[in-house]
Amino acid sequence: MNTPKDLSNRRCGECGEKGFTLEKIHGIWNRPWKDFPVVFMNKDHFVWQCNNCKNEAVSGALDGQEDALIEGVIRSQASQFLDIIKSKSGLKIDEIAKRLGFTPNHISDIRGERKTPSYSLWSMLKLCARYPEHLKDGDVLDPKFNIEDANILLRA
Amino acid sequence: MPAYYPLDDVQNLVTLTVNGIDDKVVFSMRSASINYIMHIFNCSVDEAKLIIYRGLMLLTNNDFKANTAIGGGLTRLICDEYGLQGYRGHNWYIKLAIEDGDLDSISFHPVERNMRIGQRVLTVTLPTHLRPSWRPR
Repeated sequence: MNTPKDLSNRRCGECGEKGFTLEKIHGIWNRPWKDFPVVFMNKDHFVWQCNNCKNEAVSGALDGQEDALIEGVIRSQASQFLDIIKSKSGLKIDEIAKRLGFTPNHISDIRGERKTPSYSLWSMLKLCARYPEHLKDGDVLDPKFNIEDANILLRA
Repeated sequence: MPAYYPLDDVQNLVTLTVNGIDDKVVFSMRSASINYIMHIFNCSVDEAKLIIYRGLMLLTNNDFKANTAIGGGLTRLICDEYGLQGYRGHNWYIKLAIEDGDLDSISFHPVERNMRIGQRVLTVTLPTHLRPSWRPR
């Protein structure tokens, strides 16, 4: 059962019209996956969309294909974030891990695309790849950063 | 009025798909089925499909609510609506049809308003603010 199902003549459950086309998804894919509220597809992916209302349809096969694709994309992104963080912050992996609250082994596995990050870790890595200076000594992600002096506490 | 599609046929198509014998299920409105499940349970695509399949296999004729239809004119498709009570902590609204030999699991999501089936009322179990953002409020 390896041939992908052809949904081109299926009826749309949303609008009732027949006809789907494989449309390319690149960028934000507005659907959840595990704890990810949306997925950013930086690799081209094709989905069946209704010709009339753009609702998506999918085959019911338990082939793991879509999950493998999304997981691969997320792992690749997290690994790339770490490469950027490492090169721009000058920190070693175990220092980065410590500042983010993870074990060096886990961060190393993320960098090697051997594990899938949670959404919260992926988000943190994305933020740090964008603003690597915040990981440096004395900046906000330094565990010794003075949160009182930075006025980010509301109550004593 | 009985279900338009025999439940045995529905469940046979699920069994064939789950066992990998053939791909006999389509989700023609994934926002009302798979995506909804993933939103609630933070699960993967295949995990969401399995949750739906297990739910469909639990259905009995007593869970049947009514016939409805999608589309219009000559291409109108009759669908069966079911209510599944107390599955994975929720009450579920299910809409399905069989077309071209495949089961179309159109809707499979927590009931969004109280649903009467015979003498039973399936109450809303998922608060409105926890529904996916793409669902009507």
